[in-house]
Amino acid sequence: MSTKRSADRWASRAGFGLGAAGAVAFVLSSAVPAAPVGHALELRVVANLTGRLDVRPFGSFVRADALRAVPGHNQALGRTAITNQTARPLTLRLRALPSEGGLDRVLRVAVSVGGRAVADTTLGGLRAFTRTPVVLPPNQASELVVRAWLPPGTPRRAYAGRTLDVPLEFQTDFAPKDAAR
Amino acid sequence: MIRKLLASVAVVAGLGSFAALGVYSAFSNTTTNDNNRIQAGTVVIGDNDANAALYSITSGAKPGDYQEHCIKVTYSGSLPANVKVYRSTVGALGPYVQVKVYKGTGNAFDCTGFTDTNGGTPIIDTTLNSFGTNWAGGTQLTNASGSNTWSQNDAVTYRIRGTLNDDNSAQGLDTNLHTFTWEAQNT
Repeated sequence: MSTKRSADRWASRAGFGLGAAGAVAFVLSSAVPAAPVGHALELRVVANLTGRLDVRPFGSFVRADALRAVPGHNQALGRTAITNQTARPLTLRLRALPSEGGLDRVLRVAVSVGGRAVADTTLGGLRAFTRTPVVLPPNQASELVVRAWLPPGTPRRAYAGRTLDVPLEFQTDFAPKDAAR
Repeated sequence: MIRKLLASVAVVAGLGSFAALGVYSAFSNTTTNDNNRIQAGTVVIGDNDANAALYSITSGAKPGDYQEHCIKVTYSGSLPANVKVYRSTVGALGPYVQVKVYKGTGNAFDCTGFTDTNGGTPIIDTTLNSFGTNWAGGTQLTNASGSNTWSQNDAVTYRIRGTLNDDNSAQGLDTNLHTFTWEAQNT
Protein backbone atom coordinates (compact mmCIF):
# COMPACT_ATOMS: atom_id res chain seq x y z
CA MET A 1 0.00 0.00 0.00
CA SER A 2 2.64 2.44 1.10
CA THR A 3 4.76 1.34 -1.83
CA LYS A 4 1.94 2.23 -4.20
CA ARG A 5 1.48 5.68 -2.59
CA SER A 6 5.19 6.37 -2.87
CA ALA A 7 5.11 5.33 -6.53
CA ASP A 8 2.13 7.61 -7.16
CA ARG A 9 3.95 10.51 -5.56
CA TRP A 10 6.96 9.94 -7.79
CA ALA A 11 4.79 9.61 -10.84
CA SER A 12 3.00 12.92 -10.18
CA ARG A 13 6.33 14.65 -9.50
CA ALA A 14 7.79 13.26 -12.69
CA GLY A 15 4.73 14.32 -14.64
CA PHE A 16 4.87 17.81 -13.19
CA GLY A 17 8.59 18.07 -13.91
CA LEU A 18 8.13 16.88 -17.45
CA GLY A 19 5.33 19.35 -18.04
CA ALA A 20 7.32 22.21 -16.55
CA ALA A 21 10.38 21.32 -18.63
CA GLY A 22 8.24 21.19 -21.76
CA ALA A 23 6.74 24.56 -20.99
CA VAL A 24 10.15 26.12 -20.37
CA ALA A 25 11.54 24.60 -23.56
CA PHE A 26 8.58 25.91 -25.52
CA VAL A 27 8.99 29.45 -24.13
CA LEU A 28 12.73 29.45 -24.72
CA SER A 29 12.38 28.22 -28.29
CA SER A 30 9.84 30.95 -29.01
CA ALA A 31 11.89 33.79 -27.49
CA VAL A 32 13.12 36.51 -29.85
CA PRO A 33 16.88 36.89 -29.42
CA ALA A 34 17.90 40.18 -27.85
CA ALA A 35 19.43 42.69 -30.25
CA PRO A 36 23.13 43.16 -29.63
CA VAL A 37 22.90 46.85 -28.79
CA GLY A 38 25.03 49.04 -26.55
CA HIS A 39 23.62 51.06 -23.74
CA ALA A 40 24.48 54.55 -24.95
CA LEU A 41 24.50 57.02 -27.79
CA GLU A 42 27.71 57.93 -29.59
CA LEU A 43 27.47 61.51 -30.79
CA ARG A 44 29.65 63.73 -32.97
CA VAL A 45 28.84 67.30 -33.97
CA VAL A 46 30.99 68.45 -36.87
CA ALA A 47 31.86 71.88 -38.25
CA ASN A 48 33.99 72.28 -41.36
CA LEU A 49 35.63 75.22 -43.10
CA THR A 50 33.83 77.13 -45.81
CA GLY A 51 35.19 79.64 -48.26
CA ARG A 52 34.05 82.50 -46.05
CA LEU A 53 34.44 80.98 -42.61
CA ASP A 54 37.51 79.68 -40.92
CA VAL A 55 36.74 77.14 -38.18
CA ARG A 56 39.30 76.28 -35.50
CA PRO A 57 39.27 73.53 -34.49
CA PHE A 58 37.38 72.06 -37.41
CA GLY A 59 35.86 68.60 -37.68
CA SER A 60 34.26 66.98 -34.63
CA PHE A 61 34.14 69.55 -31.87
CA VAL A 62 31.40 67.93 -29.81
CA ARG A 63 32.09 64.34 -28.91
CA ALA A 64 30.31 61.95 -26.60
CA ASP A 65 31.06 58.26 -26.66
CA ALA A 66 28.46 57.16 -24.14
CA LEU A 67 25.54 59.55 -23.84
CA ARG A 68 22.72 58.21 -21.68
CA ALA A 69 19.53 59.74 -20.31
CA VAL A 70 20.99 59.65 -16.85
CA PRO A 71 21.92 62.80 -14.92
CA GLY A 72 25.64 63.39 -15.19
CA HIS A 73 25.93 61.38 -18.41
CA ASN A 74 23.23 62.93 -20.56
CA GLN A 75 24.88 65.90 -22.18
CA ALA A 76 27.76 66.79 -24.48
CA LEU A 77 29.25 70.22 -24.84
CA GLY A 78 31.74 71.55 -27.37
CA ARG A 79 33.02 74.83 -28.64
CA THR A 80 34.99 76.08 -31.60
CA ALA A 81 35.91 79.44 -33.08
CA ILE A 82 34.46 80.62 -36.37
CA THR A 83 36.09 83.53 -38.12
CA ASN A 84 34.70 85.60 -40.93
CA GLN A 85 37.69 85.60 -43.27
CA THR A 86 36.18 87.96 -45.81
CA ALA A 87 36.61 91.70 -45.80
CA ARG A 88 32.89 92.32 -45.23
CA PRO A 89 30.48 91.61 -42.38
CA LEU A 90 28.57 88.41 -42.79
CA THR A 91 25.24 87.24 -41.49
CA LEU A 92 25.31 83.66 -40.33
CA ARG A 93 22.58 81.08 -40.02
CA LEU A 94 23.22 77.44 -39.40
CA ARG A 95 21.46 74.13 -39.43
CA ALA A 96 22.13 70.50 -38.63
CA LEU A 97 22.28 67.67 -41.13
CA PRO A 98 22.10 64.57 -38.91
CA SER A 99 23.15 61.30 -40.45
CA GLU A 100 19.84 59.69 -39.44
CA GLY A 101 16.41 60.88 -38.39
CA GLY A 102 15.76 58.49 -35.52
CA LEU A 103 16.86 60.93 -32.87
CA ASP A 104 15.20 64.04 -34.29
CA ARG A 105 12.60 64.16 -31.53
CA VAL A 106 14.78 62.72 -28.82
CA LEU A 107 17.95 64.74 -28.70
CA ARG A 108 17.85 68.39 -27.60
CA VAL A 109 20.38 70.94 -28.80
CA ALA A 110 21.25 74.47 -27.78
CA VAL A 111 23.50 76.59 -29.97
CA SER A 112 25.08 79.96 -29.38
CA VAL A 113 27.35 82.08 -31.55
CA GLY A 114 29.42 84.84 -30.01
CA GLY A 115 27.48 84.45 -26.78
CA ARG A 116 24.13 84.85 -28.51
CA ALA A 117 21.66 81.98 -28.34
CA VAL A 118 20.50 81.03 -31.82
CA ALA A 119 18.77 77.71 -31.13
CA ASP A 120 17.30 75.75 -28.25
CA THR A 121 15.30 73.00 -29.83
CA THR A 122 15.19 69.37 -30.78
CA LEU A 123 17.67 67.98 -33.23
CA GLY A 124 14.85 67.81 -35.78
CA GLY A 125 14.10 71.48 -35.13
CA LEU A 126 17.66 72.33 -36.05
CA ARG A 127 17.28 70.76 -39.48
CA ALA A 128 15.91 74.13 -40.55
CA PHE A 129 18.26 77.11 -40.64
CA THR A 130 18.20 79.19 -37.48
CA ARG A 131 15.84 82.11 -37.86
CA THR A 132 17.78 84.98 -36.39
CA PRO A 133 21.03 85.70 -38.17
CA VAL A 134 24.16 86.53 -36.25
CA VAL A 135 26.45 89.18 -37.73
CA LEU A 136 30.11 88.23 -37.94
CA PRO A 137 32.44 91.22 -38.33
CA PRO A 138 35.37 90.76 -40.72
CA ASN A 139 38.39 88.93 -39.38
CA GLN A 140 36.93 88.41 -35.94
CA ALA A 141 36.52 85.08 -34.27
CA SER A 142 33.23 84.18 -32.62
CA GLU A 143 32.78 81.25 -30.33
CA LEU A 144 30.33 78.61 -31.49
CA VAL A 145 29.01 76.58 -28.57
CA VAL A 146 26.85 73.53 -29.00
CA ARG A 147 25.24 71.61 -26.17
CA ALA A 148 23.36 68.41 -26.89
CA TRP A 149 21.51 66.39 -24.32
CA LEU A 150 19.11 63.53 -23.75
CA PRO A 151 16.30 64.68 -21.47
CA PRO A 152 15.96 62.55 -18.31
CA GLY A 153 13.35 59.90 -18.80
CA THR A 154 14.15 59.35 -22.45
CA PRO A 155 13.57 55.62 -23.05
CA ARG A 156 16.80 53.79 -23.63
CA ARG A 157 15.53 52.08 -26.76
CA ALA A 158 15.31 55.53 -28.39
CA TYR A 159 19.06 56.05 -28.40
CA ALA A 160 20.93 53.01 -27.13
CA GLY A 161 23.50 51.56 -29.47
CA ARG A 162 23.24 54.35 -32.02
CA THR A 163 26.02 56.39 -33.59
CA LEU A 164 25.02 59.83 -34.75
CA ASP A 165 27.05 62.31 -36.79
CA VAL A 166 25.67 65.82 -36.93
CA PRO A 167 27.45 68.03 -39.47
CA LEU A 168 26.56 71.69 -39.18
CA GLU A 169 25.89 73.66 -42.33
CA PHE A 170 26.64 77.37 -42.36
CA GLN A 171 24.74 79.81 -44.52
CA THR A 172 26.34 83.22 -44.92
CA ASP A 173 25.33 86.40 -46.66
CA PHE A 174 26.94 89.79 -46.82
CA ALA A 175 25.57 92.20 -44.27
CA PRO A 176 25.55 95.99 -44.34
CA LYS A 177 28.88 97.32 -43.12
CA ASP A 178 27.25 98.99 -40.15
CA ALA A 179 25.29 95.91 -39.18
CA ALA A 180 25.16 95.41 -35.45
CA ARG A 181 25.73 92.05 -33.85
CA MET B 1 2.51 4.51 -11.75
CA ILE B 2 3.43 4.05 -15.36
CA ARG B 3 -0.14 4.72 -16.39
CA LYS B 4 -0.10 8.01 -14.52
CA LEU B 5 3.25 8.94 -16.00
CA LEU B 6 2.06 8.17 -19.49
CA ALA B 7 -1.13 10.10 -18.85
CA SER B 8 0.87 13.17 -17.77
CA VAL B 9 3.04 12.97 -20.87
CA ALA B 10 -0.03 12.58 -23.03
CA VAL B 11 -1.70 15.61 -21.46
CA VAL B 12 1.41 17.82 -21.85
CA ALA B 13 1.99 16.60 -25.40
CA GLY B 14 -1.66 17.07 -26.26
CA LEU B 15 -1.77 20.62 -24.92
CA GLY B 16 1.55 21.46 -26.62
CA SER B 17 0.35 20.08 -29.92
CA PHE B 18 -2.88 22.00 -29.65
CA ALA B 19 -1.02 25.27 -28.88
CA ALA B 20 1.47 24.68 -31.69
CA LEU B 21 -1.34 23.96 -34.09
CA GLY B 22 -2.97 27.29 -33.23
CA VAL B 23 0.23 29.33 -33.52
CA TYR B 24 1.78 27.63 -36.55
CA SER B 25 -1.24 27.17 -38.74
CA ALA B 26 0.78 27.82 -41.91
CA PHE B 27 4.34 27.14 -42.89
CA SER B 28 6.25 30.34 -43.56
CA ASN B 29 9.81 31.43 -43.96
CA THR B 30 11.55 34.69 -44.91
CA THR B 31 15.00 36.09 -45.24
CA THR B 32 15.88 39.77 -45.32
CA ASN B 33 18.68 42.07 -46.29
CA ASP B 34 18.47 45.26 -44.24
CA ASN B 35 20.00 48.70 -44.03
CA ASN B 36 20.39 49.43 -47.73
CA ARG B 37 21.25 53.05 -48.37
CA ILE B 38 23.23 55.31 -50.68
CA GLN B 39 24.42 58.60 -49.33
CA ALA B 40 26.06 60.86 -51.91
CA GLY B 41 29.27 62.67 -51.09
CA THR B 42 29.85 66.32 -51.86
CA VAL B 43 32.22 68.47 -53.85
CA VAL B 44 32.19 71.98 -52.43
CA ILE B 45 34.71 74.73 -52.98
CA GLY B 46 34.56 78.33 -51.81
CA ASP B 47 36.57 81.50 -51.36
CA ASN B 48 36.74 84.58 -49.20
CA ASP B 49 36.82 87.30 -51.87
CA ALA B 50 33.48 88.85 -50.84
CA ASN B 51 32.88 89.44 -54.55
CA ALA B 52 35.76 91.91 -54.84
CA ALA B 53 38.08 91.85 -57.88
CA LEU B 54 41.64 90.64 -57.49
CA TYR B 55 42.81 93.46 -59.73
CA SER B 56 40.98 96.35 -61.32
CA ILE B 57 42.69 99.34 -62.95
CA THR B 58 40.18 101.45 -64.78
CA SER B 59 41.89 104.83 -64.70
CA GLY B 60 44.27 104.25 -67.60
CA ALA B 61 47.04 101.83 -66.70
CA LYS B 62 50.61 102.55 -67.76
CA PRO B 63 53.28 99.94 -68.56
CA GLY B 64 54.38 98.27 -65.30
CA ASP B 65 51.24 99.23 -63.39
CA TYR B 66 49.89 96.34 -61.38
CA GLN B 67 47.40 95.44 -58.72
CA GLU B 68 47.21 92.41 -56.51
CA HIS B 69 45.03 90.86 -53.85
CA CYS B 70 44.82 87.57 -52.03
CA ILE B 71 42.12 84.97 -52.23
CA LYS B 72 41.79 82.01 -49.93
CA VAL B 73 40.27 78.97 -51.56
CA THR B 74 38.81 76.30 -49.30
CA TYR B 75 37.68 72.83 -50.20
CA SER B 76 34.75 71.73 -48.03
CA GLY B 77 33.48 68.71 -49.92
CA SER B 78 33.50 65.24 -48.43
CA LEU B 79 34.95 63.60 -51.55
CA PRO B 80 38.64 63.84 -52.44
CA ALA B 81 38.99 66.18 -55.41
CA ASN B 82 41.31 67.77 -57.92
CA VAL B 83 41.25 71.54 -58.19
CA LYS B 84 42.06 73.66 -61.23
CA VAL B 85 41.94 77.35 -61.99
CA TYR B 86 40.99 78.93 -65.31
CA ARG B 87 39.64 82.20 -66.66
CA SER B 88 36.71 83.44 -68.68
CA THR B 89 36.92 85.26 -72.03
CA VAL B 90 39.13 88.35 -72.10
CA GLY B 91 39.43 91.35 -74.41
CA ALA B 92 42.22 92.39 -76.77
CA LEU B 93 44.53 93.48 -73.94
CA GLY B 94 44.85 89.87 -72.79
CA PRO B 95 48.23 89.20 -74.44
CA TYR B 96 49.76 92.25 -72.72
CA VAL B 97 48.77 91.52 -69.13
CA GLN B 98 51.06 89.34 -67.07
CA VAL B 99 49.36 87.27 -64.39
CA LYS B 100 51.39 85.89 -61.51
CA VAL B 101 49.90 83.60 -58.93
CA TYR B 102 51.70 82.93 -55.66
CA LYS B 103 50.76 80.18 -53.25
CA GLY B 104 50.72 80.63 -49.50
CA THR B 105 48.69 81.15 -46.37
CA GLY B 106 46.75 84.03 -44.89
CA ASN B 107 43.20 85.21 -44.55
CA ALA B 108 43.30 88.85 -45.60
CA PHE B 109 42.08 89.95 -49.00
CA ASP B 110 44.59 92.81 -48.97
CA CYS B 111 47.35 90.19 -48.42
CA THR B 112 48.23 91.42 -44.94
CA GLY B 113 49.90 88.46 -43.29
CA PHE B 114 50.27 86.50 -46.51
CA THR B 115 53.08 83.95 -46.21
CA ASP B 116 54.47 82.53 -49.43
CA THR B 117 54.94 78.78 -49.19
CA ASN B 118 56.66 78.33 -52.55
CA GLY B 119 59.84 80.26 -51.87
CA GLY B 120 58.55 83.39 -53.57
CA THR B 121 58.31 81.70 -56.96
CA PRO B 122 54.92 82.08 -58.61
CA ILE B 123 53.09 78.86 -59.36
CA ILE B 124 51.62 80.54 -62.44
CA ASP B 125 53.44 83.19 -64.48
CA THR B 126 51.83 83.75 -67.83
CA THR B 127 50.00 86.28 -69.92
CA LEU B 128 46.30 86.58 -69.30
CA ASN B 129 45.75 85.39 -72.83
CA SER B 130 47.62 82.15 -72.20
CA PHE B 131 45.70 81.35 -69.04
CA GLY B 132 43.55 78.26 -69.41
CA THR B 133 39.92 78.83 -70.23
CA ASN B 134 38.26 75.63 -69.02
CA TRP B 135 38.79 72.55 -66.88
CA ALA B 136 40.78 70.74 -69.54
CA GLY B 137 43.10 73.68 -70.07
CA GLY B 138 43.14 74.89 -66.48
CA THR B 139 46.13 74.82 -64.19
CA GLN B 140 46.16 71.98 -61.69
CA LEU B 141 46.57 73.26 -58.15
CA THR B 142 48.02 71.40 -55.21
CA ASN B 143 46.78 71.61 -51.66
CA ALA B 144 48.86 73.02 -48.83
CA SER B 145 50.78 69.75 -48.55
CA GLY B 146 51.64 69.68 -52.24
CA SER B 147 49.19 66.95 -53.18
CA ASN B 148 46.96 67.11 -56.23
CA THR B 149 44.19 65.56 -54.16
CA TRP B 150 42.33 67.98 -51.98
CA SER B 151 40.50 66.78 -48.90
CA GLN B 152 37.83 68.35 -46.76
CA ASN B 153 39.10 71.48 -44.98
CA ASP B 154 42.12 71.95 -47.24
CA ALA B 155 42.72 75.63 -47.88
CA VAL B 156 45.29 77.59 -49.90
CA THR B 157 45.68 81.31 -50.26
CA TYR B 158 46.73 82.75 -53.61
CA ARG B 159 48.28 86.16 -54.12
CA ILE B 160 47.35 87.19 -57.63
CA ARG B 161 48.97 90.06 -59.45
CA GLY B 162 47.96 91.50 -62.78
CA THR B 163 50.58 93.70 -64.48
CA LEU B 164 50.36 95.67 -67.72
CA ASN B 165 53.37 94.70 -69.84
CA ASP B 166 55.51 97.31 -71.57
CA ASP B 167 54.35 96.93 -75.13
CA ASN B 168 53.27 99.73 -77.45
CA SER B 169 50.66 97.51 -79.00
CA ALA B 170 48.73 97.51 -75.72
CA GLN B 171 47.70 101.15 -75.98
CA GLY B 172 43.97 101.75 -75.69
CA LEU B 173 43.07 98.11 -75.32
CA ASP B 174 40.98 96.53 -72.58
CA THR B 175 40.87 93.11 -70.98
CA ASN B 176 37.18 93.66 -70.29
CA LEU B 177 35.69 92.25 -67.12
CA HIS B 178 36.78 88.69 -66.63
CA THR B 179 36.53 85.96 -64.04
CA PHE B 180 38.89 83.45 -62.52
CA THR B 181 37.28 80.15 -61.64
CA TRP B 182 38.52 77.56 -59.23
CA GLU B 183 36.84 74.28 -59.97
CA ALA B 184 36.93 71.06 -57.99
CA GLN B 185 36.11 67.66 -59.41
CA ASN B 186 36.10 64.53 -57.34
CA THR B 187 38.85 62.07 -58.10
